[in-house]
Order: sequence, then structure tokens, then C-alpha cells
Amino acid sequence: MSFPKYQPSRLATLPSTLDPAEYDVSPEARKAQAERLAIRSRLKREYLLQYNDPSRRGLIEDPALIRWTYARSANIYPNFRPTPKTSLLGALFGIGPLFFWYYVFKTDRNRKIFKLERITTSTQYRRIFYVIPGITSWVCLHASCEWKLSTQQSSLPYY
Amino acid sequence: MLKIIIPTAMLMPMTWLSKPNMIWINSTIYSLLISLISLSYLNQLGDNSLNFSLLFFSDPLSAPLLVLTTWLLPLMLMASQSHLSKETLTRKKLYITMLTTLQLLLIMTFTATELIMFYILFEATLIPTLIIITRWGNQTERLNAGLYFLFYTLMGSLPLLVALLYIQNTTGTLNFLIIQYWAKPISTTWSNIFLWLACMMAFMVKMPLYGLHLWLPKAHVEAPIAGSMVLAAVLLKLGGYGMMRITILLNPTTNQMAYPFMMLSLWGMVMTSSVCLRQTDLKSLIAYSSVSHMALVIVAVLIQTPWSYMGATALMIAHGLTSSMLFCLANSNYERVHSRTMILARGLQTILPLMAAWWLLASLANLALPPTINLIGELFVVMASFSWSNMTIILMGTNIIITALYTLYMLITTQRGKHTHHIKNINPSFTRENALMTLHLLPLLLLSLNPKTVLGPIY
Repeated sequence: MSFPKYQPSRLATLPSTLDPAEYDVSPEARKAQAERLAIRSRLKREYLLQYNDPSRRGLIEDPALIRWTYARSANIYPNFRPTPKTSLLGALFGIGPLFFWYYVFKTDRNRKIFKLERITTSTQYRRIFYVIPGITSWVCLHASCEWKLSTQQSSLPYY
Repeated sequence: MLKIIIPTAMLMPMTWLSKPNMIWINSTIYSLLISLISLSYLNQLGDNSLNFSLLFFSDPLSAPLLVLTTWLLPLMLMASQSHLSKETLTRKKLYITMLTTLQLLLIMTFTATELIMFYILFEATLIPTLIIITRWGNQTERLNAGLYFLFYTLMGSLPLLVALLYIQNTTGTLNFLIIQYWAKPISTTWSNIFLWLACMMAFMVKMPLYGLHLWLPKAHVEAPIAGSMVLAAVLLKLGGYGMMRITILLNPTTNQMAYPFMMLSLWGMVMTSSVCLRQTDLKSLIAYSSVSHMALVIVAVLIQTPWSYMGATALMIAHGLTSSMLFCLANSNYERVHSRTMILARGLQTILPLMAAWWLLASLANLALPPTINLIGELFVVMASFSWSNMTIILMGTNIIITALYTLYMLITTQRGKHTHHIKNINPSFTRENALMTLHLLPLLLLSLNPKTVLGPIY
């Protein structure tokens, strides 16, 4: 039986047993592969010894994780260099927005303050501040008096 | 006031003279009693302040902060018992002495009448905190953290001394009760601009303002649990309290000078909240969330409207309790796993369900869920800043969303999902830890029933 030739795809890569280059490897490359396998199996053995140890209390230290957290939290500055990309990002997100929002808010505030001052200082519009409250308070006073009188009259005895 | 100061000072001889098995019990119980005494100061007069003597007064703004400070000492002592259990007896007593000294200085700071006394005590609180961070922190970075903490705050507050002496010379007094009626409007000249900057920069660094916040993640992360609690809950509020007191002297220059700091706070809120989403270290996440919440307080104090002051006061108390509780929860994780990396301790809900309940409540409080006072504070500040300028709602709304995002991220990473293999045999939750969380949460929930206690003098 002849099988169709195996075509590797993105999610199914070519296994090493079907790769013809695997069988022509030089002895140095074979030795390097054996060394890497020895390292991997030593690390796995250490991990499994700790993992299955019944008297272990707490987590297994992973040096890679320790290095990663150290690099992300405490060792940032030595690994930082001002490049065009980082300077652009810094200006775009750190400095630019401050000036941008300053202009936005200043414009909005100036408009608001101008409107407020125009109303409070001009004589033409100032009447709004004492005519309208005056009318509303007069109306409310009258309405409350009438309501009070109407409720009182029902309780007065008829003479 | 002496009935709080003398017992707090006497806590120190009591610690040194106690028997070895009684130091924690004695100090916790007596500091709890002192906090119950300080609750009587919440009974404030409506229009005025309670004046105890020429040196001390309490006001609806400083009384809740005073109660928070005294409430926090027993909590700090309860939280520190575990990590100090391996130390020698003298070191334990020294630690308790440091905490008590800090407490004493903070009590006097919040109730000081004279602004110079406030300044001296404000600086003096740095020393016990520095000793706690650099001596009892866990990593070697704690030395760097102490350095940043000390020198940022000192650099910011040295001009404040000069400004206070200048004000004393021109106004004749620095007694807060007199100066609130004696303050004259100052014009916007260059020298008055520098006066404004000198007065405010100390508190901006302490709050911290977004550009000057570099000391905070370092100090919070490297400090032991009691140090983190007192830093997050009380020392940041010193900045807010100081700003609210000193802006009385600085009108109307504040209308012009506030803009750069408003921009830094508004944009800084969004930036630090976004940074929280990318943190690997749990305490670092909570530290950056503190920066974000305090930026709201800065915005509120610089706007200077009645609602914003009420919101600022409520937010300070609420954030004090919530942040301290989150640090205690993070510490309970750290004591079991000995690492602050968030992804190392996941899926805790299946193993410690009661602790998961505290995590849930603390996270819900942190993201300002109604009806907690966190929401009341944030809402008042958002409304006041909306009336200041309509456009702030964009940034404030973004901040609220991102706060919810990172708080839920923290909750889900630590509590939900499959647990990591190594946390199967961690210690169960101690009663001490559950009591600690309850004592944090109970004031927070009770205050949501009666928030006018923490709404400040404007209410």
C-alpha cells in the first residue's frame, strides 16, 4: 500500500521521524542532542522528585519564574534604553495627553466662565436673578397660603 | 485629647514590661480600647470644631481620620503576629514600639491646631515608617524603597516649612482656627505662585500625584504588612488632609495654579489604573490602585466645591479601610505561598472559601459598588468635576471602568479557576485573619448605613 506523502500544515508540523534530514545528522549534532536531552531529563527528574515528595510544603521554586518576575518588577530601568519607539510612546501617552487635556479643559472652562460672568455682571440679564426667583417665591407663598386656608376652613365649626 | 495621647504613649512601656506570651494580647486589647475612646470624637458640633486645648482640635474632617488611625493600630498588630513569630522578643517589642510611636505622631498630626506643629509631626511620621520598611521588609529592594520614600517626601516638604514661616510672618499666626477667618485673598503674582507651589508640593508628593508617585509602589511592596497598612490607609490621607487645610490660605491663586495638577491627576488616574492591569505582583497592583484613588482626591481638593470636599473625605476613609483590607488579604496569601506573584496562587476559592468571601467583599468595595462609601466618595467627586468641566466625565468614566477591570482581574486570578498544584497543603485561615478582615469590613459596611459621619465639615 502506498500512502500519500505527508504534508505538514501550520498546526501539524512534520514529526522528526518523517524528516529525512534527521537521518543524515552528524555525530557532533547527535552528541549535542543527547546533551540537551540529558539536561531536560535531569530537570524533569528534579521537578518530579519535588512534586511527588510527600513532605514538601509549599511551592517548587522555578528559577525561570523568579527571573521573569524580577525582570518585570524590579529590574526595569537597566533594561530600558531610549529608542525612537519608546520615546514616541512616552511622548504620546505620557506627555502629549497632559497638554491635550489642558487645552480641552481650558477651552471648556473659559467658555463656562465667560458665560457665567456675562450673566452675573451684565445689567440686562441680571434681572433673571431677582425677577424669576421673586415671581416663583410669590407664587409659592400664595399657593401655600391658599392651601392652608382651604384645609383649615374644613375644620372650622360652622357658626 | 490627652485621654487618647497618654494611653497611646503608655502602650510603649506596657509592651516592654509585658510577659513574653502577653505582648500581643496586651497591645491589641489596649489599642482597641483606645480606638473606642476616639469614637467619641465623632460626635461633632454642626458648625464648629471641638477645641480641646490650644494645641489640639478636632473637626468633622479630622475626626473620622483620627478614628481610622486609632482603629488601625489593633488591626496592624493582629496582622503582624505571624511574620514576627520567628523574631526575638526584643525585636518584637521594638516593632510594636515603632507602630505605637507612629500611631502617636499620627494622632497628634490629625488634631494639630498650629500648622508648624502639624508640619513637624508630618515629618516625624516618616521616621518610624522608614525604620519599619527598611528593617522588617522582606526583599533587598527594601533599602531602595526606604530611600525613595524618605527623600521624595523630604524634597517635597522642605519648601512647605519655608512657606509656613513666611505665612507666620505676614499673617501673624498659624493657628488653624484663627487663620480660617483671617485668610486674605492673594493675587496671582510670581511670588505667590511659588508660595502656592511650596505649600502644595509636600502634600502632592504624599498623596501621591501621578508624576511624583514613584516612591509609592516601592514602599508599599517592600514594607511588611503593618507598614503597608499604615502607609496605604493613613499616611496617604495625611496628604489629602493637609491639602484640604492649606488651600484655605491660597485662594484665588488656586483657580489658575490648579490646572497642571488637575491634568496630572486626571490623566494619571487612567494611566495608573491601566498599569494595574499588567502587574504581576499582587501588592504592586494594590499600590497602583491606591495612586489611582488618591488622584481622585487630588482632583476633588483642587476643584474646591462643597460636594467635592464631601466626596474627598468619604473617599479617603473608604479607601483607607478598603486598601488596608486588600493588603491584609495579599499578606495572607504571601504568608502561605511566600511569593507575591499573582499567578502562583490561583484558585484559592476552592481551598479557602471564607477568605474568598473576604476577597469578594474587599474587591467589591474597591470597585466602588453601591451603597458603600467608596461609591459615595467617587460619585460626589465625579459629579463635582463634571460641573467643573463637562469633559472630565470621559476620563472619570474610563477610570471607573478600568478600576472595575483590574479589581475583577485580581479577584479572578487569585480566587477562581483551577488551583495551582502547590497550594493543596497551605494552612487554613486562622481565626486571627478572619477577625482582621471582619474588623476591616464592619466599619466599611456600617458607614454605608450612616455616611454623614465621613462626609466632612461641609455636610
